[in-house]
Amino acid sequence: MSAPPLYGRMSYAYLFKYIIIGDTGVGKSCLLLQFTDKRFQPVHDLTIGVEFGARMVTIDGKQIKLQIWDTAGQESFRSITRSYYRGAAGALLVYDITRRDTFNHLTSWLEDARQHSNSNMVIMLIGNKSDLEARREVKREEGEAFAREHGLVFMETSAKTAANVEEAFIDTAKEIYRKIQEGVFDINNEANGIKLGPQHSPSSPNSPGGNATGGLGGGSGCC
Amino acid sequence: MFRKLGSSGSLWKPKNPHSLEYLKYLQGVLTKNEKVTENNKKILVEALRAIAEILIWGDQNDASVFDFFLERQMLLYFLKIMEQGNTPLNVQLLQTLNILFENIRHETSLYFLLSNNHVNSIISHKFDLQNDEIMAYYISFLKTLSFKLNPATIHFFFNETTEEFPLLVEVLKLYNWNESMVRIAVRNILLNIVRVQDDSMIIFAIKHTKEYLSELIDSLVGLSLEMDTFVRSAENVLANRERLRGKVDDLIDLIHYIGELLDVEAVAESLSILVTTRYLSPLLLSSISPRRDNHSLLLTPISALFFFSEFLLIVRHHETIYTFLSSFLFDTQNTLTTHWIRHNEKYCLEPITLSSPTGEYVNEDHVFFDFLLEAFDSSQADDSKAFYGLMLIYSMFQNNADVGELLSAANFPVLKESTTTSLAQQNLARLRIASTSSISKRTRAITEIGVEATEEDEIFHDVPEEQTLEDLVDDVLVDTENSAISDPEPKNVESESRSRFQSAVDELPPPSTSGCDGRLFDALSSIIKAVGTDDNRIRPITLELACLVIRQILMTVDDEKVHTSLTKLCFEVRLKLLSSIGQYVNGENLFLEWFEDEYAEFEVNHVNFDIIGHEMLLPPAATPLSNLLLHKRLPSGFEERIRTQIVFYLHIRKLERDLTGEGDTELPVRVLNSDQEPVAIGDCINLHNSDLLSCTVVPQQLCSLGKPGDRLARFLVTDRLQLILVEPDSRKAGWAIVRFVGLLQDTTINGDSTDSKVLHVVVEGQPSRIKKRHPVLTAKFIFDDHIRCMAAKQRLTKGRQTARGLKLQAICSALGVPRIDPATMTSSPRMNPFRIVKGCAPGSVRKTVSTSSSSSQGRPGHYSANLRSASRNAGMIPDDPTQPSSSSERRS
Repeated sequence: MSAPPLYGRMSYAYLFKYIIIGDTGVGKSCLLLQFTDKRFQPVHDLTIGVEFGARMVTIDGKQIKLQIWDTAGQESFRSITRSYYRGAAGALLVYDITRRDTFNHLTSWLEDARQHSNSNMVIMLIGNKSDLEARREVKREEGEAFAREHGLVFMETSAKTAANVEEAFIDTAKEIYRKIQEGVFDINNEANGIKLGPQHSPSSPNSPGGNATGGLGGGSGCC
Repeated sequence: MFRKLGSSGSLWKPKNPHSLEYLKYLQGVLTKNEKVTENNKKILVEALRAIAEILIWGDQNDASVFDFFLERQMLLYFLKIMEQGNTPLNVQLLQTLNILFENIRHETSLYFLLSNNHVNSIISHKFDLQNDEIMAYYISFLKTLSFKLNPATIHFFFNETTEEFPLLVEVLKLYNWNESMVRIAVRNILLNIVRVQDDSMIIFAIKHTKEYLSELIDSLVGLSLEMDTFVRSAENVLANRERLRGKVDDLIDLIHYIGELLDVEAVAESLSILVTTRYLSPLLLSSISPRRDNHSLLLTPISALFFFSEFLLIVRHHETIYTFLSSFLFDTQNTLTTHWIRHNEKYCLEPITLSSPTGEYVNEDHVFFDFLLEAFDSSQADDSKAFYGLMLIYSMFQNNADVGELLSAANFPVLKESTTTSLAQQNLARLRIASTSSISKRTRAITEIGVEATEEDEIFHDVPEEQTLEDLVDDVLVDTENSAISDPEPKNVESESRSRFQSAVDELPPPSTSGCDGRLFDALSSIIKAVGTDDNRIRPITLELACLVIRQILMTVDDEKVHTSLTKLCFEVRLKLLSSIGQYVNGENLFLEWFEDEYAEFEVNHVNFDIIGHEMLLPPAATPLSNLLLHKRLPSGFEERIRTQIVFYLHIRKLERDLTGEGDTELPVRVLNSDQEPVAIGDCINLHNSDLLSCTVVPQQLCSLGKPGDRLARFLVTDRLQLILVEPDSRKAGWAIVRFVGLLQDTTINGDSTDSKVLHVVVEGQPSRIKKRHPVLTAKFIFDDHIRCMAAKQRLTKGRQTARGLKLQAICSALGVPRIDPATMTSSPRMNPFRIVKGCAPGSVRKTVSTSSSSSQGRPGHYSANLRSASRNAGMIPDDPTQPSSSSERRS
């Protein structure tokens, strides 16, 4: 049996707020559901997604709650899009490897994100639908080059096969956590998209247990 | 799984989780577990989750699945579970509902889900919203539903008969929620609701959002006052600018939101009245006019100008902008009938009670526009007001509310071309103005702006006497009619302002492309004039914006007099700046770097109000410690003052040449490498007749040549301008491939104190609008023996001097100052061998290389190098005649 959904009262050290951005139809809500809820099966004859999700991960022995918000449909309102960017600690910028136009629009998305987010927001570039190799229009190397040129982390994923979905979210969480340790993020400023957990105090010792490699957390995982 | 004794077939769990049979099984689970207990909680959670998956699968693969769900009224089970208030179950329920409504594709299925008022029951339910996940799923659910709203679906949500609309009513309760994503979603949902074209729903929405809209405007007032308080007291340092950015972003987001609501016809009228009567008039206009009541809460002028500008840049609702600008351009302070005061720690809007009017001052016409012009008074302590005054003028140009007619009436330049009117109509209008001037003081005040005495004389001469009399009679009648119309008392500020302007515009000439308030040019000219004075407090960004605004105006105003006076002013100021920087061109060793850096900076367009809009609100910074770049602050120290004057010079020079229509053939500064093309990396060059010095290059930092620790065998070659590292071409004897090219002028050379065979070389890359000056090569050059090392050092040092001399000569030519050899200068305005270079980052690699008199006496031709670009005859080595050496003209 898969892990049950998160209940808000579980203790955690930090909460990181994420947004997912990118063109319509690139699979943002499917990625979100696939990461936050392993109970849903990634099967080929079902396309299913959700606009909000939350999940615990463990990084350096710390419980981190990730809260992910999809921005679907908001593009027509400038006041809405500006505000979304400013409240997030991390962003997943998603394109569809089978649609060249979604890759071509990345520059515009990135420009908006850079202009309206706090300067420390961690951005990961995601080339989704890697299971559809026969219909690929954007080479992996092109995604890698774009990410390198703009200082982003890059990964190809598939919400259908669950390939790399886990890594995409956890890698950005590690980067955010590293920035907290370095003092780059001011965790007292909610506009950074980071909150202290309900049972956290600055001098508390590391919680025991947890998977040191930052794997699944918050319950026993299976299948 | 074992079959239970006596159980019915419906509880047998099918193997295929995506099938109609599985949904039937799940329905059985719900039926058997209507009462939530500790024992069945997990089963129910999984059942609800699985239902989401199977229904979406069915929507995409098998229509009978959805049919079954609807036939069995399974949504009713959801409601029964919901009402029992179990948190884990409600989290799952809301996730399931989100997934259903988010992913469903068939319209008929959607309509069935929306029928029977079940969705409204879910919307109205009192979930435990303190649980952050319940709240997140709940607000996402509401947002998803709001995107389904259209004229066909609105009646699933809004019941006209019973006057119920839970989606609107419930979402309004959340507008101030502490989680920012919830507040954002509320705005999104409301925008989606009010855009639906349904008359009865709109009536309901208007009634129920009245209080919300009022609080929205009042929060804009609160944000503005709080931000202004911060700006008044904060120092201009990075931490404060970051806090300020957050405050400004909140405020601008709110203005964007109000602008988007104003685009929706349904709420535009009531919102426009609110924003005009509660924000624009009592706060913004009040703050840019003399204070009349000691209790009034006012903004500092720069905050008011900034918010005014942002409002014009963002909002495009015609009536709101028209009303606001007409008050700004034409009204007296009598327009201001209310003000904000603080009462019991709250902001309250109160009528203004004037105990004793101050007479003439209070009733001065166009007091607000005059305030804008006064912002440019160059005697002020700093340029903050001038900057935001410029931003306001820019915003008036850029506004999208189609108010060109209004601007023209105020003799304000308009970007869009106005309709041409006949000369006769113009003359008639002017005559009307002249004849009525004695009747209306206000009209006369406006007339004085646009009509000169000479023109009046011309008008009378052009019209026969009998026609003049007839027109006078007509004007009297028209004026009487206008008076009669304006007798009734205006009912609100908006109509009052519009009415006043309507009266005024009838009596004004039609728009003219040649009209412009002369005082506006005087104001803009004062900035140009100021940068030519010593100890001015103008920041480069302010001058850049002033030049931009002037160019915009000149595109629409064709006035020879203005054109001539501006050109003359630019000429005079340029000469003043030149006389200041000119005295340092020859004497300051680093002037070359300063000039190149500032030219690169000058080419960047810094006017982006999303960035500089708030950065200039805090008091002007004057040191690098503020983390502001030089163009956004005042200079600190000698070098920065010269750099600032250089960039002033460049802006004035450009504006002057734009005015005269003259191109600039001397900038950017270029030094041609005699008749040879520049060498590039990868070129194949002929080494015949070149003086080569072999060396091992050891990079100290990562660069195009290699990484730290590499040891690269290369040959060193120089020409008049370049330091070149080559590697022999193994396929062609006597030829070599270029591996590195750098400018000698940007090269520094130092010997190694412990090894006489080693040189430390740093080559910087040229600055551009994209990249700052930075090292492109930091390396040790190791030679075979100390003699070759000495020879290389002399060659590089000599080459650097020559290259820098050529560049400085070109700069002198561009500036028009004589080139003087520093060796022969008897005195310099600043001659301090121990001067520390300021403004450089710690560890800067830039160093002054001392001149060696012995190296300048090198034998002619000894260091010459003849280089050719790659031969086009691949298989043939061409003959290269010996080229005569080029000698540097030290005394030219």
